[in-house]
Amino acid sequence: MRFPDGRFFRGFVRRLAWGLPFLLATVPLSGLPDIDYSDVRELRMLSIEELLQLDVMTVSRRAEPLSGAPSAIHVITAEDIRRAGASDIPEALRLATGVHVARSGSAEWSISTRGFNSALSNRVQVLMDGRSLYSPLFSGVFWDAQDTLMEDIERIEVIRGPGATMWGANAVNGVINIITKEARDTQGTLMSGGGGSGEDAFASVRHGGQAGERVWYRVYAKAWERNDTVLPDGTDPDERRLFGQTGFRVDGEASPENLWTVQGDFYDGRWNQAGQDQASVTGTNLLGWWSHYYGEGNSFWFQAYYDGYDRDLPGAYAERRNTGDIDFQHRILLGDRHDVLWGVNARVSGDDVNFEGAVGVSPEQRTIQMYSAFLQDRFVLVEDRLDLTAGSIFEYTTLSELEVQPSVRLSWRASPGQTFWGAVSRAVRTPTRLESDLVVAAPGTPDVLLPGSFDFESEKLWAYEAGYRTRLTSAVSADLAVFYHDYSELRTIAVSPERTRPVLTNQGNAETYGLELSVNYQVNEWWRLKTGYSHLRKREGFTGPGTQLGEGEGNDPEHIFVGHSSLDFGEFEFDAVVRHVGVLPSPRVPAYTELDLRLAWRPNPEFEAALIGRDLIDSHHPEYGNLREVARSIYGKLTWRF
Amino acid sequence: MEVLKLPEVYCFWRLHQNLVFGLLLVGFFVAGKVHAVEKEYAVKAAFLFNLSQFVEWPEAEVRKAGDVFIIGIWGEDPFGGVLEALVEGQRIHGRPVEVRHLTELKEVGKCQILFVVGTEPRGLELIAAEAVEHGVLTVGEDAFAQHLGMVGLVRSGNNVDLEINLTEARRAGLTMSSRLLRLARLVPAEQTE
Repeated sequence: MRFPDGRFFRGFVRRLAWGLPFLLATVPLSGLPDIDYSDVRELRMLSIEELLQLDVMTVSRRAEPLSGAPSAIHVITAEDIRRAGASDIPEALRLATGVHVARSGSAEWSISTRGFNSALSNRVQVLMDGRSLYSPLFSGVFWDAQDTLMEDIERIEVIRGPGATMWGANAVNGVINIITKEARDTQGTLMSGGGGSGEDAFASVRHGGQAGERVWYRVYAKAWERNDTVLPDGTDPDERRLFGQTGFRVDGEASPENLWTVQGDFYDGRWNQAGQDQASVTGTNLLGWWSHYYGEGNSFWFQAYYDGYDRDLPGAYAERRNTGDIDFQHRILLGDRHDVLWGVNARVSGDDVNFEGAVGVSPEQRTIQMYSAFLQDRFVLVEDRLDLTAGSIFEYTTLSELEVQPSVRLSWRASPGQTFWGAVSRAVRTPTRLESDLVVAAPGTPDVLLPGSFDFESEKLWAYEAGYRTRLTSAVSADLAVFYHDYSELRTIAVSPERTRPVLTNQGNAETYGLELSVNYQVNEWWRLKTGYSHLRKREGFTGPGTQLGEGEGNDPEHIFVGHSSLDFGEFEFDAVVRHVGVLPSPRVPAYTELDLRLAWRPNPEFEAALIGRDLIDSHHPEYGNLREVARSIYGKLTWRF
Repeated sequence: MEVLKLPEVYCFWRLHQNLVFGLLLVGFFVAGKVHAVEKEYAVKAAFLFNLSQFVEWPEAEVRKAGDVFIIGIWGEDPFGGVLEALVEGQRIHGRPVEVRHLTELKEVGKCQILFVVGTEPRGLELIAAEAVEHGVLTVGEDAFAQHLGMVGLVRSGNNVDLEINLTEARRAGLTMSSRLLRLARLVPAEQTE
């Protein structure tokens, strides 16, 4: 019997705390502390990159990011992505401190932060430009279907810890926000292509232009073929993947106070499955938002999107899903001290699911509705020194009761260049379709071995976090976060003498604690180092009655390290990324250290030729599970811009 | 896996989580006033200071300028002293920095950077001509870079964006580092009216 282990996280309502247009330009690069505008020493120390990120409209005298400093956040910039040669989103995520990215198959990744990673990991809410990327079926992200033009990614924000009200999501362990560039920043034509081992062949083209004085657009298309995983003995099972995607984005300024965007994508992919027919996935999405700024710093924002996809994995399952979402947020500056944000969201998601084998759902078609409202206030306690953000999100879904998730965060600017922050949050993981509607039957018989249950409750988390950000010198900045997570009512499969069969219960509990440290060092004009280390400890338990069947969730390493060195010399760029992931306990996967290298030649701003090697140390290595391993790959890439 | 031992303080905390949370919320409603500062112009002043590191002035102009690096302001000063405070005691390209408020066109040629205040500055064509002739980097606001200006500091939403008109800058003999150009929105000359 194959039971899909792992988190079935369902964060139906994604709350981007300050709304997409606010986030678009206001989150700092990792390690940026709050600054005091009247302190020119701090102003002088900021780089151009940081100046571009500063929000000039918030309530206090401080130049803080609108989205709020008091969280553990890492921002992967467009430049990080380009220099590291990341060719898809999971690869880009490996660059963030504290993110465990584990490849378990040719089209399967387990990605999580702060523990509980698993094959269907999901305590992390993932969004692209405000659109939620997971399936409410099991609250997992199908990373094989999430793609975009890597050159068009503005940044990826990784927030570790409960997103809740601060960052919006009903996200227990973290939030990943993938934000693409505005159309006006992707003007002109870009063409790129290349190939090699592993990254067999790829090509993409994008064109951006203006369709009116204040309307910018871009359209793109990309296609690729890849085969970069092998069996543990090194042989190639030929699970090559073919993928094509096309899309567009239009941004407009009806006036300086009224901005709008419409964007959409269409994708189609297929991959070979050893011993099965080919798998396929195809999907479409369309999203639009409009924001209006008024008064001094007030704004409201309205967004709606549609997301539909069709996944067919012969031998496992097929899922067809259509989702519609409407979101409204309003930001008001009250007096000189209060920065209030509130919003409402409604989402409807209908599906048609067919499982093969022992695991299934009943009914096979279902429409789930989710509603939420949130309110948050950022309040200046001590001018220029201390501010408090408090808020809560209230959420109701078809499969759960009303859930309340409050969060309180404090930010203390101890001195120029040094900020301390602390947070206490409650987060909840609501039941998923699979947990409610699960049917695990003995093959060929109608006997239900393990039923889902409407009584299955939400999992709970109380999270206690603190952090310290400092700019040690104009060249060195550091960002430390420590956390303690207290989980209760975790999903378990339990047996007891009274029951005739095992059931899904909420009898698990766990505590995790650890730290995350990022240090950035601009050694000199032409050499930059970015490093990140995270440490995690976990203890799991089970409260009776009865006994637990199987183990607790999540297979997590104690240590994760990533280091990225960027060198410029003349027309050349040389980058090296070292990645180390510790041992996964059970099922056991050995620790690994891998190296990615990129050597690029840029004779002028229009042309770039790069040679990229990934996973160079071992010819192949396992990252999760024992079925597939990631193979070494080397490829070349050419890029033209004109 | 080691068993976590909870200190007693923490036990208290766990039992009284809701109370502590409530207390924090009460402290919330203490009234107060904060004097706001013109953040937008503090950021623009920082840009002016920072930009200079990424620009190279033509040799002839550097020699003529002598010992002082001059940032000129054309129009009513919006910085409220922040720009002067920012450059005090600082050096740009090895030279001490001075901020000047200009009243006459002929003073334009003596500056290395000229900040033009406002959305529709008067006499822009003449200023631009002076700037090109004397190798002055012109920086302005809103659509400045789209109309004969070299660098525009544009407020968009809640931030300040950077627009650069490379053609204009080159006409003045200025060179800009690729790092700067990568961060800016390049404004093509054909867009000027």
